[in-house]
Amino acid sequence: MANSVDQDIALLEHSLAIPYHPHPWTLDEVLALGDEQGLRVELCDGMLHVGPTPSRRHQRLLGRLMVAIDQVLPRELELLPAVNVLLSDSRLVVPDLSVNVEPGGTGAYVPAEQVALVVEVLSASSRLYDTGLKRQVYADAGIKHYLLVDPDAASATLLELDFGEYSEVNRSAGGILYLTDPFTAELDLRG
Amino acid sequence: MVAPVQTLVPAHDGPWTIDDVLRLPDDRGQRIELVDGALVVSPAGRMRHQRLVGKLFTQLSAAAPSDVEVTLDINVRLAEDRLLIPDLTIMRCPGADFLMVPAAELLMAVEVVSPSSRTYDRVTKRHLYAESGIPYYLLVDPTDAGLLLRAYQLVQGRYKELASGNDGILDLEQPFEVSLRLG
Repeated sequence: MANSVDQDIALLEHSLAIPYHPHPWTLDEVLALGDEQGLRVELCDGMLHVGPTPSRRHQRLLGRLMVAIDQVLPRELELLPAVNVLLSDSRLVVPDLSVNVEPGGTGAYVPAEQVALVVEVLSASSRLYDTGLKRQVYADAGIKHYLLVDPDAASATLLELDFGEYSEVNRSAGGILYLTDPFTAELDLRG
Repeated sequence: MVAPVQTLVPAHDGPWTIDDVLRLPDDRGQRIELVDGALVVSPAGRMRHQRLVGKLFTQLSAAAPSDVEVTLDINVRLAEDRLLIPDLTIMRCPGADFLMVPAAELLMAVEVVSPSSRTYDRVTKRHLYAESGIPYYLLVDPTDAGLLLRAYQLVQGRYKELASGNDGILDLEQPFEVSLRLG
């Protein structure tokens, strides 16, 4: 069935367009796709993961975390929301927040070696992914600290990498996380 | 049949739905699955992958009792926002014709690992199949060290290894007796 040109345009404007692509996805292709469509597109070994638009609740907590961290972050560290982090030449993720050790970079992605901490705010859509596959690929890439924040429980867990595996080193209490590594901060997760 | 130049998925606020994914036209170049409202796009299997899938289908079908059916590439609904497409499935209702099968009808999900899917099949998919109560999971992994087969059985909500084999050889007694020779 043929669509009119107008209908085609409308469909294109309101859709995610996944190109015909019967091969493993490459880093360059994923960078292009994500930029074009303003969506969070992540790559793991040739597979794409396209995350839905985040909920208001997710963004609200994320915003508050950003403000709180920004206020206490030492100048030699940089906080960035939703940037591409390159874990390997076939793995690209977009953490909710990343704290980087080389401020002022301008590339399409931050290399994993420059990332001291990644933060993920869990949502119904991302919980399995953040606690499962993402945890594994962050560990594989040697990212020292991984902070998982749960808005439903107003709680947070900090994982630290040791000998290639994450273990829990810090947990919030009463809705507040007292962070000491890689910087000192008091993060209020409530409300 | 001409392959689509692109697949258009409706963009809207929030998670994608099973409906969004079921409406997508057939794209034989890649597989589009839904996990908790996110889209997972993986390339279609290359020849070695497809060859293994073919052998598994032949051998499992030959050994299957009459009250189950072995199928390829069907949509399996694991939850309201989870739709996966296992390489093969062993289903309880032979001859049924659904666009999408609920997880409850599956006895076993089978995945043949490809370089793109290794982590996903071993970590995410395993967890998803276990969470939806699929009694058995078979992972076929063509590693550098040989063709590894691992069969898992669901025990108290988690998969425990039931049997494993190297060099493409595995004898199973559950969910039915079959001697797999994939080498």
